[in-house]
Amino acid sequence: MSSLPYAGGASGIPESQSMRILMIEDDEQTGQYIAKGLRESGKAVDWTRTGQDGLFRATHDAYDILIVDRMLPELDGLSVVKGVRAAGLATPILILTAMGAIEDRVAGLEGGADDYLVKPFSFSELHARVNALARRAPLQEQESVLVVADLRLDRLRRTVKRGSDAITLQPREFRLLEELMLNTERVMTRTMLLERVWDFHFDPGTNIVETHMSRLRAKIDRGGDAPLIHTVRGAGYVIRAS
Amino acid sequence: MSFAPAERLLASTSFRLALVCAAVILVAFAATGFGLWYVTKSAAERAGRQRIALEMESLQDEIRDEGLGAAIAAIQTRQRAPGALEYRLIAPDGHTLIGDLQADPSPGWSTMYLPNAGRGPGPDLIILRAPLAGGGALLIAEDLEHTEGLRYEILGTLIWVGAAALTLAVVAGFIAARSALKQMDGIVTVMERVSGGDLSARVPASPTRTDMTLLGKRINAMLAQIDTLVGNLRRVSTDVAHDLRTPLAHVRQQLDDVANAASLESAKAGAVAAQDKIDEVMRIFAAVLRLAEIEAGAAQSRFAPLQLDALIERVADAYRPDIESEGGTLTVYASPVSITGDADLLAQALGNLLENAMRHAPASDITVRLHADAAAVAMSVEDNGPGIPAAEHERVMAPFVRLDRSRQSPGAGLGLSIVHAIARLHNAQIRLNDAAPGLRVVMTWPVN
Repeated sequence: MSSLPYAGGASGIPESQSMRILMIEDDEQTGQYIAKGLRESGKAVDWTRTGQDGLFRATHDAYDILIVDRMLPELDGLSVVKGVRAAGLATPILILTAMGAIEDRVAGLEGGADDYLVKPFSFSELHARVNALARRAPLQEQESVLVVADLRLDRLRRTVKRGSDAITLQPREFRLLEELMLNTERVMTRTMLLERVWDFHFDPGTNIVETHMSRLRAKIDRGGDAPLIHTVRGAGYVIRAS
Repeated sequence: MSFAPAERLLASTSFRLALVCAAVILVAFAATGFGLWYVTKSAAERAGRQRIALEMESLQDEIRDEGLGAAIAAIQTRQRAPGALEYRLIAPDGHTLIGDLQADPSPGWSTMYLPNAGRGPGPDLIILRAPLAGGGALLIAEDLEHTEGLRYEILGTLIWVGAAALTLAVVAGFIAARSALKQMDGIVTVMERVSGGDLSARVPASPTRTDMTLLGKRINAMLAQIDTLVGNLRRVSTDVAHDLRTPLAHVRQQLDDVANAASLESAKAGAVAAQDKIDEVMRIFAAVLRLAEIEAGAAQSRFAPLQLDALIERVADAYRPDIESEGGTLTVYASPVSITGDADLLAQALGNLLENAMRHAPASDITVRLHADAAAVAMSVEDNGPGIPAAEHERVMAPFVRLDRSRQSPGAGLGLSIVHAIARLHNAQIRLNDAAPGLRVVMTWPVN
């Protein structure tokens, strides 16, 4: 199992050392798969199998992230989410759903969840989402200028500069770069980018992300500049200085 | 449940209806009969009193003017006439001068019930007794039994007509019930065959237009729909199984290689290749689940107004670089149109259509048009590639059907089925036509 395809280690995140995760999942295999992967990437994982116990722990202990399965014995996942929110907690919640993705997504997000993931999923997808959720600092969301190495993106003027060169981007390329820079050093999967940049909640069989990414790279990482956008094999893309 | 014929007949709706009709007829006739009886009886009584009063006046005049003797003679003549009144003339000394009337009532109007006379309630005999000027009295009476003959005749006619109407209603009900039962038997037989698994069973067509034949038609339409859906389900299960077998077999092979790998490096490479294949399998699963979800129709509850032209621009914008990098073009002509629907699903529908165009007409010029008039909103995607032969338009339109040549490409076939399902969910129609050259797919919403 040591060859599990997760890519979190690649971004080398200091925060993950202290990250505490509560996972509420009744399926033994899925639970083990997730817990093992998250622990290997340096996260502390508490695992409970019922919604009742999960809600109790989530509201009586401090967690950085909750991973909640939609279908649970005793108390279903959606009720857990609502219960956590009703207790006044803002802990980021990732919902795992099986079938009925459209319905569950809307119900889950309306109930107070922050992100959702449809089963079956690859661990790299889960890992990327957990990282993105945990470190979405409120301040960063409001920053008007994003900087990675010598790349500057001005969100108000909608301009991009690499060193002293102004770079002209198409609106969608700008959104793509903005999303990457908002999550600097965190892996963004293809699905996450489709959802956040294009608002697509389906899997286009074509290379939308890849094509846009290669165009963006051609404009950002040209000539002798050190490349900033990196492909993480089997996971997605990440922007970082080195 | 099986009934004996008589029981079944009694249980049939049309026969019960006929029985109710018959009962209503019966009650109506009885009410009419009773009404007529009373009306004629009281009319006869009124006429009798009038006749007696007139006779009394004329005889009193005669006695006053010409004396008792003339009156006796007059009464003698009058009581012999057919249907005559009855008389009794009493002398001042108290003995009867003339007349057969036996009664001796007090002066004024009185009525008498004769034994064995009338059958209905009410008086049988009306008597008027008036004193004479010189003493004595004159009594005049009418026996109402004389008028009863007519009443019995009317009543008799009523009973006959009522009985005939009753018989007619029962017979008509019986015939209607029998034909309905026969049609019902046809439907029941079909239902039993369907329950037994024969989805091709149909209610036989009938040239008549009754509610039963209408029901039969509805049932046939429903069966046709079920037949199609079940057929689709069978086909899609086979297709999915087929689609999964190839990548799963590859995974199996790659895992074999990993197990027997000579070095860690080659084992890792094999594992990565296996992962890619598994991703492909998961994509197919996701598409199938998505399709099932859309077909379930629950998304309709989330429909909201949206700008279709903006949605088209957004989706086209996403696909354009991809299309252009393969040497094609994508042009959008969209006038502002607002509809009610699910933005996520409509984006997927258009996305799938664009992917189809890219896949089957590589490097072609793709045009998306959005047009609205008073009757309909139409969104079309056309390419100038090889197109699909007109003969195959129909076939490719049916859900889950894929043309043989598109079987090679993964995910194909489900793409258009998903578009079709999304269109159905939005009450839109999908048509394929020839763009000469190329294929045009048109999605049309009726404007309500």
